[in-house]
Amino acid sequence: MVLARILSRETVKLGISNVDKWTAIEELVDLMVERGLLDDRNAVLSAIVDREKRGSTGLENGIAVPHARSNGVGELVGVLGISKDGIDFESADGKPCYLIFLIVAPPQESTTYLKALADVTFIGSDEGRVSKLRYASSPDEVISILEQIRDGTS
Amino acid sequence: MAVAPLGKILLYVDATVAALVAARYAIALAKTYGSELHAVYVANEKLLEQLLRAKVFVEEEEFDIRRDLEENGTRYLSFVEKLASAKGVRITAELLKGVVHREVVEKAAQVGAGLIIIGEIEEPLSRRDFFYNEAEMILRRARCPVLIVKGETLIDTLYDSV
Repeated sequence: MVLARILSRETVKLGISNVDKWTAIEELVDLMVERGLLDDRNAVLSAIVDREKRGSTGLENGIAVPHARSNGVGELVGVLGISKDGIDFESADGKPCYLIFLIVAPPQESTTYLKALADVTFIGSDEGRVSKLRYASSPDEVISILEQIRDGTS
Repeated sequence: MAVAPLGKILLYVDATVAALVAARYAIALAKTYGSELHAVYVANEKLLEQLLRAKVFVEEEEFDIRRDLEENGTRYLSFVEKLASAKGVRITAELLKGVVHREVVEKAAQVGAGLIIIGEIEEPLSRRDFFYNEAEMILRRARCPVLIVKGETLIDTLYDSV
């Protein structure tokens, strides 16, 4: 599971801002900066915002997956932001999003990028999984749940 | 009519170092036994279709990803053709699109391959990794023998010697 490989306790943030989706996106890009995942913050933020303006990445069941390919990263990276109260992501089902997976890949990366995005849709396909992650009390618990999902025990 | 077991070989190429090792072995085999060599790269549209159904991509992204998957395939097949040419081996390389294992197994049947050659299979790190492991699916679904190539250093020596 590619997602379980690129996420770690350092790239999970609980209690992200629920002012609006643009604030949440910027907060997650800044988390990537803090963790040294980006070569160019502005290029990545611009690519993510540009993609979001073309169409909401809010999916069903409380998941959003803002994503882009950008020269601002050297490899596939991702972070997860969680908001218990939810953020209006203008999602497909009109409901708030609680799990925001921000995924960025270099322009030449295709296959693992697709796999990471497919992992997000897999998580989002089960309301139980989404709920467990939404109410996790720590980044460690989040990673533990993702590992259970990876191993097929959740 | 007797079928020569190594008369026709199908090489499966994906975007991995293991596939290029397998290519060197396939070329060495073809050179040694006079086999007709075919190579295929399959642009994996299974994942892309899944993401389109989930409405993750907008139209422009779909176009870009499809183009990149094909360009990647063309690049790897070109490299395999150069490897074959360096040894004076004729190879028919083809870029296919669709579900990887299905396309490979069908192509093998179509060309009458007596052997499919694939690169070393990655160790799955999770049950979910089996979902992606197309090489393993080829192994299970093929209707002819399948050879998995291992031992990069050994294969390089073999390739250099033919």
